[in-house]
Amino acid sequence: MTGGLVLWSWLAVAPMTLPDAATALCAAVPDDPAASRALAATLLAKARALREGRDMARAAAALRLAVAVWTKDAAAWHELAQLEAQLGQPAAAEAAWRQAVAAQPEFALARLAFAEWLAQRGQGGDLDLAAELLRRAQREPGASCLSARVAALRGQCDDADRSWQDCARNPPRKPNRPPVVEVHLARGRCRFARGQYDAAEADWELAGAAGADISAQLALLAEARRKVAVEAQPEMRKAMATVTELARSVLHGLDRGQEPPDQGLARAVAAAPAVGIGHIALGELAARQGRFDRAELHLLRALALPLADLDRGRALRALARLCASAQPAPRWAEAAAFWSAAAPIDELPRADELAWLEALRRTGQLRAALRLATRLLARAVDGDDPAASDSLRELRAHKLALELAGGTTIDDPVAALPATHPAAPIDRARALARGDRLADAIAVVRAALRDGPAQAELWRDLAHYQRAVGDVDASVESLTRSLEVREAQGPVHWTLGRWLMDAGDDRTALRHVRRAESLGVAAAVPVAVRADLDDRALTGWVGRLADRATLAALIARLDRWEARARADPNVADRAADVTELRAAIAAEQRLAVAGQAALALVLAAVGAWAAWRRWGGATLRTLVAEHPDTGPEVQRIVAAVRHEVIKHNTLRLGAAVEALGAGDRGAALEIIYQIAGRTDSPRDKLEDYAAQLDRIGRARGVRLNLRRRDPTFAALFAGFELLGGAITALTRTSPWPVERRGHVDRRLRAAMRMLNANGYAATATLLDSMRLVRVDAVLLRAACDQVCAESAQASGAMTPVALEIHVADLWVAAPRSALNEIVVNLVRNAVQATRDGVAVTVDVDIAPITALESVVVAVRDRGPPLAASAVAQPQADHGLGLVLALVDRHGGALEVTPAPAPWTKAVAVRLPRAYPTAMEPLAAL
Amino acid sequence: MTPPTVMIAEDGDEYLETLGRMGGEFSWLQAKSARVAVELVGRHPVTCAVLDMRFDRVARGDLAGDFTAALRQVGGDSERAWRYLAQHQGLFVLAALRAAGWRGPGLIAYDFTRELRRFEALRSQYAPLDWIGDDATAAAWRKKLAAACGIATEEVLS
Repeated sequence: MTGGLVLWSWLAVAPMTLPDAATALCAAVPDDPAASRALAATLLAKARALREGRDMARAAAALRLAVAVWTKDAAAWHELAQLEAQLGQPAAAEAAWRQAVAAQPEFALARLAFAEWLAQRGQGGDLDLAAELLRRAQREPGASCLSARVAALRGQCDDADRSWQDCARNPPRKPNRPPVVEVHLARGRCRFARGQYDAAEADWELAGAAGADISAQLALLAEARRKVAVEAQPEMRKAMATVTELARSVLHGLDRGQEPPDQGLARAVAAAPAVGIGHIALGELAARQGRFDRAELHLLRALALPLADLDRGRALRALARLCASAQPAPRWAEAAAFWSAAAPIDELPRADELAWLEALRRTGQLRAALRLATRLLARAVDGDDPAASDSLRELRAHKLALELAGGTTIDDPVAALPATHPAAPIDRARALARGDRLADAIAVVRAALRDGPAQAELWRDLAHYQRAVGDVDASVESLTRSLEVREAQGPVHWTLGRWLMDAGDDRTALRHVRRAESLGVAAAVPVAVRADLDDRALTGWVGRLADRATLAALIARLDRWEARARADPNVADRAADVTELRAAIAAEQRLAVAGQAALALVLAAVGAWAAWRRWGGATLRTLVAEHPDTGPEVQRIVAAVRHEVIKHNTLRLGAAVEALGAGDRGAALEIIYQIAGRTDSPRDKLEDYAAQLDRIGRARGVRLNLRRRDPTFAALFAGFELLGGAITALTRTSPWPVERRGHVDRRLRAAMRMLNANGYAATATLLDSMRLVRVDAVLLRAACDQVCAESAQASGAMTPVALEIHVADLWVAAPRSALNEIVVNLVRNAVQATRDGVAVTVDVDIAPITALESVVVAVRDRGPPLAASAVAQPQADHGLGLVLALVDRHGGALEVTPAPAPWTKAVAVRLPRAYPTAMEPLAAL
Repeated sequence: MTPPTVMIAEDGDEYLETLGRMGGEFSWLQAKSARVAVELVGRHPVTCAVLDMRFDRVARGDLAGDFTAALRQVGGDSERAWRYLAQHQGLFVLAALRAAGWRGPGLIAYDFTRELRRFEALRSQYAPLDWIGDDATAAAWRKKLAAACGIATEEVLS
């Protein structure tokens, strides 16, 4: 007691050196409850003082002493647990809270804090324990809110909703408000995992409104919705149905101990990679074939996809078994976590339960292991499960071992070090880890990290130790810190990528996997290539078809991987994956080639159609050539265009240029308006005439393209377009700099060239090109011979027909067939009127005032004169009607005159003379 | 020196407006029918006449020419006969001027490039006579008018 009093006094005035104090205390305090309680109270007060002074480490040391002296003070345990948690000692914190709850089961504050801490940590059985703690603290304010969060984290969305309603009715006190954000986040995650994206979005938005950063969640939502959109496509739905059917068949075979071939399934999954059950089947198949890496990837991938509960449980069990049988060493922590997640979903097979128990033991989760062992043992003893009785002895051994091991938590890792240990912290930690003392190893590394400069290796080792004890989030965080210290660590990127995949954060995981690949980690290559290939499937079918370069790059990456694999047997383990990948890429390449060909065809067809719309169609020359009957009308319109559209333009535009040069912008604008701007301007007339010609073409099934193909109209329209631009430039109210005036001047001169040189020349050429026919002896003799042959055949007698052509080289603007028809009908009428002979003469007549020349074809005979009515209104069947119609169409005239003896009358046709060449030499006159 | 007087025979005002911008080297008269043209040459010392060819914007009653002969020329169709008179009215105006005794040079605003033979026939009938195409520039007009009015081109251009 004396020593205790001394120490008490000393503690009150001096700072402690705690290891020494602990030793002294244990020696000084006897089994005196009152003294122990008093000493503990003093230590507690000291700890609180230190805590208020922000000296957390020493406050924790004082508290450890206090609870060592008086173990029944639940409040002290609770305070110690909080401090341990703050100091990054999760194992110590958990142990302290367990003591607090054990010392005083109704101590709601400790229960809530412990549950919240467990929920925050979120490992394997943490959530189960948190839920159990909360069940006994439901009346506490804030308990229902925390229950909502824990239920959501456990995937029990409906329970979470019910608890949340209670939480809303009984809101937490002010200090507990921040967890409300966590509840929204957890509920959103729960709904998201079930594929209820709208509900998830609503929850996350509530969290965002409460101040949380939900950008990552919203990105996840967008990604998931994009995948859903892809899945909604009919082809994808069909592919997904195929995958589901094949996968069920494979899993059924596996359940019966068979090993079905996987080629069909692998191909189907490659076509529809977003079907979780397909990945489960591939994963289990790969596990059965001993291809563990591949199996793990498929199963992790399945868990990242929407799954039915039973399928999710199956994937989790398969993953747990994989981790438990991992080589070279089992990954017990992950296995335990997977079984813990699988157990609430579906009843575990007996072998799985025993393996789970082993995993819990190996990872130091002794209480969870003890609970499980007790439950299994009770079931085996009760005989509920006959199979359990077989392992009754084994279970009892487990239980005994757990009971013996229970409470052996080592609070001070430094004190627990082996007697002989390496000096360097990293080596000491490794030595501890080899002895299965992972918590101690973690403590050593943490201490080294606190005391010394950041070392990438320390963070990396810490991550592995944390992973081994099941602290998944901390392990990811530690690996990230390791990369922050030294980024270029390929294996660390690769490991972090796999862990993040395990955690469902595929996007970040793939970033690390790709980086690992770039840093030369061969094992990362197939995974990264697969991810790139899957990403490509989400780019839309046009992107998939167009992008063949990406596929070639993927193949090149696999080629490089194979070159490495030949030298490295560890890498070669993934050869089957690569073969499958190659097949998938080859299929994509074939699809891309076929798709590009189809796309090219479609584009070519569309381009051809567009080109035809723009540049196709006929010119006026083509129209007249194909439909000679349109010649006169086209000629009339083109002549009108020349007169009404082109005429005066040169002079007017010249005046506009002069006005512009003189700086009179208004006058220039007025002139150009007269040509191209106002109603009833030449431009409007051109549009009207073009429309008339279009109608003529359409009536004969010809699409005219006057604006672009016809040289005449194209030049005129282009000229008017230039004038339109000039009007725009002139009407601007801005200042009128010299360069703008020059621009408009050049535009006007170009318009003049288009309208008056090009347009005019093209018009003249077009008019010239109208079909002309030479009125020569060959044409006339052929027509006469035709009539004579008819006559001879009808009457047996031949009527002589004389032919006189007084002027050579005569042309008329009419189709040859029309001229032939005219002559044949005139000669036929004459032959029918008389048998004494007929004379056909061709001459030229010049109008007295206008000097217009006409070609006159006259047929003289000796028959009776024609009645006036026969000429004024001839009957079509008489032949004369047809002649009159043809002559009229081609601008000619028909007349009947008396003829000098020996003839009695002459029926003459007068057609305008045409000239085949533009520049006929005057010498020909 | 008094500028030469040019009489423009046209059915609209385009030639008067555009040629009138040339400045003061010419004085201008305008006739919209053969009758008015004959009156003007009777009242004014018209140096030369510019004759538009087509008069399709005037009343048919103002068209000069023998309608009966035109009717015969086109085979008896009255519409075509009126159109014939309108489309060649410039020549009928010139014929009327010559018949009235005016012997000044005429400048027909019509492109005879492809009808040189016809123009030679007209010139032999109505000399002195020249033509100018629809695509002529202001400089070409000045040159033609100067030649028709018997003044040097440089004088006009100055």
